[in-house]
Amino acid sequence: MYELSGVTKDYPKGRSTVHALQGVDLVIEDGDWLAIQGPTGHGKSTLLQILGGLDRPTSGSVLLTGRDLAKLREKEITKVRAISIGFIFQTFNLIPTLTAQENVETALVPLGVSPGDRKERASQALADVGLRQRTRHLPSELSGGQQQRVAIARALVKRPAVLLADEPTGNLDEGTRDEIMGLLGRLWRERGLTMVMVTHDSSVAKRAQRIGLMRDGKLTIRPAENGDCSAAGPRHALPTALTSLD
Amino acid sequence: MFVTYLLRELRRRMRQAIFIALGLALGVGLVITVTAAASGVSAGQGTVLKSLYGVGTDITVTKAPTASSGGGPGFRFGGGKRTSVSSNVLVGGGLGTLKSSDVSTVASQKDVSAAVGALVLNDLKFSGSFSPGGSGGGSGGRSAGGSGAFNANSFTVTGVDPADDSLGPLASGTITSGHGITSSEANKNVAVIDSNYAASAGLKVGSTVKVGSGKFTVVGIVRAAQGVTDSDVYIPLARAQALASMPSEVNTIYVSAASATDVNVAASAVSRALPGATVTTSSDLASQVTGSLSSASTLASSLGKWLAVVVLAVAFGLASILTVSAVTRRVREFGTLKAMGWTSRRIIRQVMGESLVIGVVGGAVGVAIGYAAAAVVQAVVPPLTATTGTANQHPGGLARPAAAAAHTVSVHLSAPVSVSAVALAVALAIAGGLIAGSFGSWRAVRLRPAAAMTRVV
Repeated sequence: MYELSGVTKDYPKGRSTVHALQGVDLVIEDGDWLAIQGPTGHGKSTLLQILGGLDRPTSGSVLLTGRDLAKLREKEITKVRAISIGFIFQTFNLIPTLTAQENVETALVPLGVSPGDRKERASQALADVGLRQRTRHLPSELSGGQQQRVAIARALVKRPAVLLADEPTGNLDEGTRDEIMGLLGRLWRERGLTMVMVTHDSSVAKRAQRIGLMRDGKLTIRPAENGDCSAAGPRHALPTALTSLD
Repeated sequence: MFVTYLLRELRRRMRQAIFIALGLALGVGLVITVTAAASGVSAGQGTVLKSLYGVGTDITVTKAPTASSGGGPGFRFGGGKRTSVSSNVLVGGGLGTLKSSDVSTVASQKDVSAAVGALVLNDLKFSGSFSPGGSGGGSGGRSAGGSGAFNANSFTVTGVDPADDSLGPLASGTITSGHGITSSEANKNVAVIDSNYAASAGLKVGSTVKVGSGKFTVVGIVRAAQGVTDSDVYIPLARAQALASMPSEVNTIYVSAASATDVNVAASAVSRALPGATVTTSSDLASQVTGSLSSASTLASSLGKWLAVVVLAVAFGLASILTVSAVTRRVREFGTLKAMGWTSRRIIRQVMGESLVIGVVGGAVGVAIGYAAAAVVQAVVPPLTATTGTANQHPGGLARPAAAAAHTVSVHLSAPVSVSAVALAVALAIAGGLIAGSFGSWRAVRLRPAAAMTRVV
């Protein structure tokens, strides 16, 4: 799925330069679940942004099924994100003025899905995460755990090949955290997702197949001790033909 | 999704949206009101000029009186026993004279469609008695010793050419009784009386009125245009010339140009054809107009226009600032949408759509405000006055000021709202929305998708 070679990312900061990533090499196979841990400010989120095409590396290559995201034009990267990559954020990032169903539908808008189909698929996605009864609720009317479920439904409604999660349980209490991780684990197994998750929570990281440790912009990988190494169900291949979005 | 998202977002920042819309509405309403007031003032000025000139008149040709043509009528009294005197004379109205053939000369000029001549006169009646004493005569008659009691009455008389009643001093009036002077009556002793003078003198159609040494039958009563003070009596030009002993003379030529754009060209041609004559166009007259109408015109065109421009500029600026601010607050929201694959173009469309709706609402409210304000202006503004020229007193004489020398017209200001003004105002409001949306879109496009992962500390 992913092949990163010599990826660096530098940010100017006043007169000096911050080296957020320093020569990261990484291979992520289809269906892998990688958790990335590390202290704050050592490059975890930067790596996730580059994997998701939200930012470009200063140098190196980021191959996603053979295509170098670092060299794609903005329009092409936007298409890749629209079709193949789902995001989950620490702060849920739901549109506050849209209902749960409408929030999920926003992920299908760039794909040109008809309004009728959008409604149906969004409704099913919410049912998959256990929120069938909450489709018309605004985010302000949902608990933290429910909001994150909506975010998960939004990320997965388009059936992406890759799910990138940035501290998905960071704003949740312990009980809800376990609920969400249980849900994510189930969906990863059922759909053969490739999942990369940034977390500072060891109990969350332990569930992954592999754990990456980011320190000073460098990444080292080790298998998880108690991780769920078995990925039941078919592996999900990234579609090679990218459809027109606009 | 586009409409749903748009409406929900506007509802979320309803107060800000209303504030921006009201700002635009105020600017737009002011534009409409100022345009309506300016249009009303312009119409008022047109009414003034039409009444001063007469309908259809673009140019007037007159001549300044020469030094030798001054002075009033002379009255000679004999000495000896107490004497009663009565004299009724027609004298020129304080203007120099032109030849009747000059009318043809003017009519033949390029870009002149028609020309008629008129003779403006004053009918002076002087009567009274005096006791023996010294006598004098001539202008300003002196007497030494003795005593007397005199009465003086006068009214204005204009000799009009009945050949063309669409041009000239009667053209702006309305015949309310009887008829105007026809071509067949060109040499007859017939008269048309101004309605105000007829009422004060007790005249009606069929009455007899003495003009100079002649007796004229009233054939028609004319009501002058709004607020105009014009001649009291109109008689055929030929009869006026004969009674005033001014054969083949006129003192005003009314000229109609071939088209509104030819007025200045025609005026130049007439000036060249008649050197020494005073050629006045409606714009020349307009520049002489004083009074509250003139002040209102200045107010509407200068202060009003600039006030509208300033208010609109402020409204546009505020709308832009607030829109950029709103977009900045939605950094994470737009970053998330970009992360999900929304293109910059789709996000721009969303931002522009929100601003456009605010602009349209502002425009609609502004139109309502404009209409209401224009109606208030029309209802509360008192009648405006316009005065042109100065009184032209005949030195030492009893002549009333010449009819064409000074005019005060009262005009009730209207404030019509035209479709083009409304269209302009709505276009401005939409432009304001688009400008604000452009600034907001520019801000949104510059957002990095990574902004979606901004940490909450």
